[in-house]
Amino acid sequence: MRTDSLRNSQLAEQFSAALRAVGGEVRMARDAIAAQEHLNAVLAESGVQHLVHHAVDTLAPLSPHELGAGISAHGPRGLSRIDHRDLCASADAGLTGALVGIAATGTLVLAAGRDTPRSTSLLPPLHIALLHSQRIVPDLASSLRLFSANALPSQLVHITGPSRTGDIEHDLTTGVHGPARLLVILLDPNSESSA
Amino acid sequence: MLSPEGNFAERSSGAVTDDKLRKAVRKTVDRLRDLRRADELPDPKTLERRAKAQAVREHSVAELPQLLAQFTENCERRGGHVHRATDAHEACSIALSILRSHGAQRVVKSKSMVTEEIGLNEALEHAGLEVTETDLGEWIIQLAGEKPSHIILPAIHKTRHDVQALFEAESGMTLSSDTARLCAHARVRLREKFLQADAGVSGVNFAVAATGSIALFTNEGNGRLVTTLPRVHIAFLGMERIVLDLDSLAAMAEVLPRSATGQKLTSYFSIITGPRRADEVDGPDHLHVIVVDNGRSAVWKDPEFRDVLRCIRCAACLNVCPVYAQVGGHSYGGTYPGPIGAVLTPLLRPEERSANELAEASTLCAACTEACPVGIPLHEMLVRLRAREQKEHPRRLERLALRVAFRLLRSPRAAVIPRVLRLAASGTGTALLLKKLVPPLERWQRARSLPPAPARTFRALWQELEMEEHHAH
Repeated sequence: MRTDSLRNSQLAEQFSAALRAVGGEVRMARDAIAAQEHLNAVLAESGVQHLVHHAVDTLAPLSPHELGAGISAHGPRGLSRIDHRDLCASADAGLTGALVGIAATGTLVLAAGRDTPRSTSLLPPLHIALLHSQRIVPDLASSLRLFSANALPSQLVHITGPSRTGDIEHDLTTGVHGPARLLVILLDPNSESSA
Repeated sequence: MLSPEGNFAERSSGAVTDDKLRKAVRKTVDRLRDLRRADELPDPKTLERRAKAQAVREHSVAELPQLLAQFTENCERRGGHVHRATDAHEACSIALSILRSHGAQRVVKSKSMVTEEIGLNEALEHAGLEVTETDLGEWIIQLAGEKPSHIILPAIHKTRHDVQALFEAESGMTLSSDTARLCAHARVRLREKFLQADAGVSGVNFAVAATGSIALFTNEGNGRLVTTLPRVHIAFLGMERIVLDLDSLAAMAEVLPRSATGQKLTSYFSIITGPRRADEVDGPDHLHVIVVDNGRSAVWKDPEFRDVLRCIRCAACLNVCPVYAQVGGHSYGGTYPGPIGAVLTPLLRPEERSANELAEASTLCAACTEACPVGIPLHEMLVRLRAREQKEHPRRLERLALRVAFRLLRSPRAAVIPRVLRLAASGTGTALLLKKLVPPLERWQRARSLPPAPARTFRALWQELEMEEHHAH
């Protein structure tokens, strides 16, 4: 299993480099404690007061219940369509997991579902995603092969960096519709935790 | 649907004397071209990727009827509804009746060339619905009351000051011309529209036959918003934009963003399979896919031009085209500008003879064919279109002139012609006189300058080359 974990770390490095190249941010965490510390630090630094998140069991080992004081946090369960939408539209950040990471392009793959609604990673200006290094695959083709043709979710979204546009004088600008910032907390047991 | 009046020469003569437009278009297409090259050239995998993509598209076109049937079955199995529209009018009517059946009044749209092609916005607005384009470039164009001038960057011909003025007029606010602030303004204005919208309209980059999915590549995130927030999602699919399975889709994802913007992958790439499931808290309740034929079946039946249906609308051919760089997208009149437009427009609209002249808007340098990631022989098709036009509507005078010129130039005595021309071009006075005496030359020179005569004539160079060739053997 040792070689597997080394391979994961190599893919994690490739993933981080590719994501940074398109303007995404990566924070490496060696364990659950480091990951939670990163999350709390990012929320504090960014002045986040309202957080929306995917269902808690999709975020393990992160806990949205152990955030800093004064931060409200809402998951999708028990909310109506409109209430959920309005919470996401007014939130400062959205916290999600990621089903798969793609090393070649620094891409996160998220599947829509009951516990993992689409708006969480879309409406707030900051998207924070937790990715486990063992979930990173080399390229898009290997990622798509993980899904059976008969069991595709209603939406499978591949996210590669923040929202961007070049529509005005081809001047690259982020955050025109989707999040202006994308930050990945990458949980890799072999990594040196870093900011 | 050739939009602005007049022919290519009339439409483009305004463009070629508009220095601001030429600079704006030139700057951006050069940048897009360089981005694509920077990404592709050092990568030995480029050829391999393109070969795969071409094979996928060849298969798609060959098996089109079967793939469409398979897609329809699978999409409906997952709760979507698939409609077939023969022409633009039918496509708009289907959309309108879906919207009416849901009582939809406000519609948000993400970028889609096929909806431009069928004139959807006009049809919906005519029926009293509010339609908002949400792709930043498309919104700018909508506010300006214009048509896109580039497939990927519709507002390529607008400066930030133009955009500032349009946004100020729309909102009644005073804004700065800073790009980031203009984008922030658009985010706020358009977010309101998303939250109020009853229905979302999108295009489809690729439909997947084996899964019944539709795939969308976007950068801004408006495509995700359009397919997430409203209760109804209507997706317009150009009939040929279909691939076999997820492996084929992966192959296309390897070339589309690279060819379009030099990105390895767009910021967002969504694969949508059916409407939201019962236990999901967001996503549309209803998914309708409208498959648009609008002349494509006729192209499919034409062995000379069938391969053009491989096109994935990446716009790489626009960005390398020397003619597009000079005249901009509006000169082409139709929905699709550049070399692909010059081929596609006359094929999709055979009843509009004026579209045939677009094939003349080419130097036949073949840069388009070289840039095409799915191997469409665009320049050969342009020649075929010219031949077809000549056959149907021969230009007798032009043919006679060419026949005379051919005779004349072949004769050894023709060597005197370049000498006379060189003499004429050497003095400004004589050049002016020449322009006056030969009226077509004057017209030709309105937006061009006569190049200085080279040190040696072509005939002399040719003779030298022949000598070298002779010695080499």
